[in-house]
Amino acid sequence: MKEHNGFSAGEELLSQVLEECLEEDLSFVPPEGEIARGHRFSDNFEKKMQNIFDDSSSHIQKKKIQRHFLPSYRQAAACILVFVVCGGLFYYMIKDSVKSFTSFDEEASMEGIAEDSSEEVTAGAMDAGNGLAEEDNAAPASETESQNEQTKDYCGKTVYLAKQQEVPDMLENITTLVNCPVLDEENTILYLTIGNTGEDDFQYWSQCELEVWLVDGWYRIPLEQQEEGEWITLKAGMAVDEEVDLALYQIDCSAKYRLVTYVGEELLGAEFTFEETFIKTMEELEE
Amino acid sequence: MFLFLALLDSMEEQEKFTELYQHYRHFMWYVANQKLQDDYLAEDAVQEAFLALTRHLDKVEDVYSPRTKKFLATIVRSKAVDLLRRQKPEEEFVEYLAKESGSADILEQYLTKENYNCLISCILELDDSYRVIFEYKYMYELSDAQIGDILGISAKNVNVRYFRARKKLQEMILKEGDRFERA
Repeated sequence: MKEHNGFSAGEELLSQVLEECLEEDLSFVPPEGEIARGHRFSDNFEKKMQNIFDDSSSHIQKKKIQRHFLPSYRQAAACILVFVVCGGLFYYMIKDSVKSFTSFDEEASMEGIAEDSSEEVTAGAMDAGNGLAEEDNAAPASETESQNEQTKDYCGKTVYLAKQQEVPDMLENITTLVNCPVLDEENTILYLTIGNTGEDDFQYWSQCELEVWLVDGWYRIPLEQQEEGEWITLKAGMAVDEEVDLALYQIDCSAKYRLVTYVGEELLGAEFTFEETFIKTMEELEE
Repeated sequence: MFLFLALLDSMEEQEKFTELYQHYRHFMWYVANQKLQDDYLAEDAVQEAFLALTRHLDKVEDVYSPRTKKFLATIVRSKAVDLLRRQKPEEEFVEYLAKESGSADILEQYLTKENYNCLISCILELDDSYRVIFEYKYMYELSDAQIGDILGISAKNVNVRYFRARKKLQEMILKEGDRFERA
């Protein structure tokens, strides 16, 4: 009589007997730790085993790659399923983006505000694609409008014409101040202190922009590595130091600079020169 | 994607292999040494067992299960038998000649529950060279080709050994049965 695994009843019994006998034999084997205390493998053995480990990794890999490349219907079906699902998702994402793109374009033309239509449409399409169209989280407008700006070469880099409006260092209840403990080649950190002297909280953009005065106006110096900014809430009566690492910029210490940030939609900043900052620091140190 | 799956699998198997080595190498050495009574030969048996294991890691499901421990014991015992054979090839030849003359294969008739205790004592006395063939075949359900791959012999030779093992066990049961009857 054949059993489900192809063994006869007698062979099943033999299997059971073999198992029992092996269990009995192994019951006399002491625990691994005890054997390890009594025997240390020879260096030769360790070396040979290391070789097996090295060979086995390549052997196992080779074997598995061969096995996986053999026709396997289940794997093929799984792959096709994955491709179909991914393809479907990709298709719908593209379709949605195109829809948003079209509707945004129509709205823009209807309202007659399509002066910079190409940029806005792109931004609109991106926002629609990412689902991040909330105004609260949007970066300040100057970042997205930079492409059409007038440029100049400064310290081997291209700088962009910034908003030429007068940037106050005080806005009703908000004050700004640039300071740094010691400014030299080794200590390149500058602080823009923003203080809220009013009774209401306000939000400011965390990424300060460094601008330099070049003959005809203020120019924004681009960062060596672009960082992402965010809106930060400053509570009433609080002050905060925003760090600016000058090592991230290519600058000339003799020029006039200002650090600028956004408070709501207003620009706020503080002008400085390195000389002033350095003298102030020295005076403070002397006092 | 296939390559990625292959890499994942191979990494898993490498980890499994390392775990097996770390966890069972002393145990395997002890089992081999029981048979060989030689520390260094036992190390050789362990090494050969691990080498054979690299090709059959898929037979090991759970590293720490009792079944895995038994499987490793079988492999290292078969390697120890091989080493002994290599040392004394003439004995094997003599044994081979002695065993070729014999009766028909009626082992199945003796594999009954009534003979259970008799079977136990016969298997415990059965030479390891035969016993491991039975273990590979009946406990781990390996094919002749798979057993041959582990032992380093052809599938045909595995089959020859298997039938010799059956005959040997049959003779032992007959003898043991007579002893029981006389007792």
